[in-house]
Amino acid sequence: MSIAGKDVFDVDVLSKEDVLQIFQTAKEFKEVLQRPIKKVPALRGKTVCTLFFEPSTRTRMSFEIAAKRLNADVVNFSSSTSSLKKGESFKDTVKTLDAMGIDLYVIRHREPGSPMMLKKYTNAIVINAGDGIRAHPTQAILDGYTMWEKFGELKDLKVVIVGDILHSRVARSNAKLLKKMGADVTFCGPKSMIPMKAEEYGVRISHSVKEAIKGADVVMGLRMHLERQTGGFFSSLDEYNEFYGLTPEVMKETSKSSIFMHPGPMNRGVEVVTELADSENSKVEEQVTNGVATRMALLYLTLGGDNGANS
Amino acid sequence: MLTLKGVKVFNGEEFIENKDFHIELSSQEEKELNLDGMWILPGLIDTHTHLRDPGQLWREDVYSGTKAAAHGGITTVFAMPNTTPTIDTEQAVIYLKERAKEASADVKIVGAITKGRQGKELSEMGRMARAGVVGFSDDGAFLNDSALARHAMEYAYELGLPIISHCEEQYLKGGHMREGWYSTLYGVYPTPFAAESIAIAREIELSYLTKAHVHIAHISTKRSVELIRHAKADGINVTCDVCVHHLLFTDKDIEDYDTSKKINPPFPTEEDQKALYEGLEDGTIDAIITDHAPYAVHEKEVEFQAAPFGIIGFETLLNELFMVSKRGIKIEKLLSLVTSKPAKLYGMDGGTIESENPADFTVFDPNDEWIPSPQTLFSKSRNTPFLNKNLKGRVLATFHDGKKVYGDTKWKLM
Repeated sequence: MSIAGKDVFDVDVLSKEDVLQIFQTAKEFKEVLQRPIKKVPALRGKTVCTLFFEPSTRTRMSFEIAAKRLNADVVNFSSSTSSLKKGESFKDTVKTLDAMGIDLYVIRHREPGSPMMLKKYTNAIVINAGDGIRAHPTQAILDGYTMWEKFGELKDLKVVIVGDILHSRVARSNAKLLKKMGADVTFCGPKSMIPMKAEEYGVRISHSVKEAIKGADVVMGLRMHLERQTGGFFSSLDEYNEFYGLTPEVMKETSKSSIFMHPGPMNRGVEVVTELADSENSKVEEQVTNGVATRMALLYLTLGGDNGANS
Repeated sequence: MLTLKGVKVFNGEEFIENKDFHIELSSQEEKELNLDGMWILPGLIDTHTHLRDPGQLWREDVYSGTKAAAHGGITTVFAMPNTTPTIDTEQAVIYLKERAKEASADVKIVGAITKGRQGKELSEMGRMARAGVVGFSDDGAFLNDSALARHAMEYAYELGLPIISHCEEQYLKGGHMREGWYSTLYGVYPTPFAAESIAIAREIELSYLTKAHVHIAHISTKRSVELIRHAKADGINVTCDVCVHHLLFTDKDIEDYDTSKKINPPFPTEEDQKALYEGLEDGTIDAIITDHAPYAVHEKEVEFQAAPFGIIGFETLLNELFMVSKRGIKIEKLLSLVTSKPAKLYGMDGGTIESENPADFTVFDPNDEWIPSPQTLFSKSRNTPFLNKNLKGRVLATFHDGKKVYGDTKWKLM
């Protein structure tokens, strides 16, 4: 098992085979989640610490549930303020926690590179649950898994990611993972919200939803990251909605079996209308379920557990 | 009399091979040292440094800073005024000069253009000139108010002193690395090159308007080089320098989020760096600086975007120039940019060795090695990307005002 002991700073630490192994394992765990007793003893005696320096409910809960389903002990540390403002340095916070004997950290932080910084002060495994606008590997894995589950493989799948790409760690990690797996990826949004030289990810860049979306298998909407924006990126949400909002009407141009995805939380009426968000094509809730299954797989594989779903 | 045998003497422009070099000693003894292949350099001149004195003494002070300078072969430093309080009055200049009397290098003082570097009111430039400042700068901040900047230049012109300008447009700045593919990849909020070049364009126009000598500090982009090259061709009194670190690192190197690589202006893209090398070659760039900017360990041991901007540079300057020369620029040219060129630029003595027994010089062994570490650095701070790295070339001794200000064990005899 090549994933054992790996720190998941971003998806590029995983090979194509690693990703497929995570998908396969997640599939088994997803079956566990359907059972009346949704628990396996795979990580009994292991301690997982979620370290959240940025407000988050869904990702933190998803990891916590995933770890608990595997019988790991879970402790949560959260601080909504940056370490500097709080007075205690990041380093001291980590050293304090580490002295308590943690096997794996799940870290969410507003600063890019913070998972690597954490690794400087610990020997435990580190999984990045989102660092600033840099990376969100477990979101990309659950998104990839959702597509894999629906389409069987990611190769040549046409994926269009629409919205505020500039402030999106989800788009960045998805681009890397999907390109690794051979998908055809397009970033679509106003030029002010496409990061510099994004084409170097190997993705197409488009400023027109109508053009980008033609024949797409997957359309992924992104939230307008108002809390990360400094102003001037768009004129009004209303204009943005008119040009970039996703609707059942717009989806008519996509392939027949296309799906709609969104990492959440959704701003209904801004990047997506309710009619699409709640439609049959929408995989938004499935993504949440898959988030638990894929995170179970990742925790299990990185911690090198030897009792799989069937034990 | 001490005779250094077999040395190569750099006179500010070129090496003179295999010379015996004589130094007067206070004692009457006659001594000889065989220094085959070693270099005698004029004391180096670093025209952009932060000694953190007064008010930020946990980072550096005028004594530790100049000891570090001496360890790097530097005997003249320009102290930037972003201290606490700001050096923006005649009294502050006199105070710092008094403190610097016992320093290990000649400390030349740059006064602030505006009071507190706030960009609101001009400081008493004339009085500071009377106290001996060598120029004016709000370094670390750009003077956004163009009308005020114009008046500052008018005063500077009358006083015959340069404005040393930190060029950064107020609305485009604010990032933590240069905008490009790597800022996208690393998820670090970036600053576009235009933040620098827009500000430079304004300074060029105001220099043309006022005839003042405007020196653009630490240029880091291709457009900056092109604008200054063009302005010089037009006869406008604009000069510039480049920070030595910008010749060795690029935005790609931020990969490990090492805060000792965080500096403002940020490391250039590969394309911008190439333009800086061209600027050095064709003389667009007039000097090389270290922008020595010490920060304590705890200040840098934070998240990348939370970390302050700055890298120390005194003690590794010659090692870095050595590395730059490996990339295709003649070492003589690089050495002239830290000796004779800045001396000429600011109308100062030094930077050359014209006769034997100069007041300021340094002895450098190009074949020896050393490792910067908390044990070997003289600076109070350690924020250098070269920490614990083996570096080629080592300063053996530095003389300032005829006195030894640094010497390794071999020089104990003196």
